[in-house]
Amino acid sequence: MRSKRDQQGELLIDHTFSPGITPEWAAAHGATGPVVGAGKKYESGLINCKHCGSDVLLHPQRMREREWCWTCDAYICDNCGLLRKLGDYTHKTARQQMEEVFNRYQRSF
Amino acid sequence: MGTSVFETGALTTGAGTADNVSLTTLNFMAIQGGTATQASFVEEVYMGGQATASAPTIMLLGRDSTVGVGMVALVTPNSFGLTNPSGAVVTAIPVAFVTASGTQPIRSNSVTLAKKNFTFNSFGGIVKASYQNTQDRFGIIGSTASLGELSLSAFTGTTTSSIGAHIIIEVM
Repeated sequence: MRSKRDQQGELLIDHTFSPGITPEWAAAHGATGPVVGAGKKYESGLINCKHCGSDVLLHPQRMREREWCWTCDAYICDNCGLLRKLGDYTHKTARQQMEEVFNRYQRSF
Repeated sequence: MGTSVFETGALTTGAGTADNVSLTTLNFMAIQGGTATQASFVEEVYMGGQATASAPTIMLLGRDSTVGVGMVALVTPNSFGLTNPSGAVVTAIPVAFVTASGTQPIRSNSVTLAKKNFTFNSFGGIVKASYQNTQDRFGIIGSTASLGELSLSAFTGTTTSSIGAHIIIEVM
């Protein structure tokens, strides 16, 4: 039976035997993503937003609803979810957008 | 279709390179599409730190706004080949390279071209991102800028060190 979690990847950042990254260093260097400290290991489910292709980490302690596209039948990121709610939103998957850009480029010759 | 692995035994990160600046030879791993219409998608990215002292590292997987010209064939300990020995051999496989004799790649600074950020400490740190089951994976299409080439390289602020890395891609 198909599950919403079928199409889930995985992110592992292992600093078990490493000084890791401090929040101060991450903030100073504008580093995004999980900040994993010394002796810590971070493991999380991972999906790609169907609409923009960005990584979405499935935080196990998240309580609020996760954005879901009924057209794609897939999770989307919070940013795309917000844009969709704001209206005037054209539904396009990341792959459609990529193909459109590629086709425009091909036609330019 | 088939999956291939691009591996580097010891990639020097350097102090990192900003977007829209030429990457430094041997400080990046890049894959360029094999034909004008070929599509490839990233299945997995792995990085294992080899630093001998603390070395916070910001690695970016991004698409290149200037693609490499005169890609130099890989030499050991780097490699690029089919994951499964009996996998389908593509007629024009993507080109994996760590240096180019002509133009070095330039990581795009476009805010609408996706990049993936992996921040870890290269002194004993490990990063593995698996996308095997996901949809709309990070990919390249064609072989020209800005969708036809991807690169893995360090961003500004990185402490110089060495990492072992591999990228698994599926060629469609």
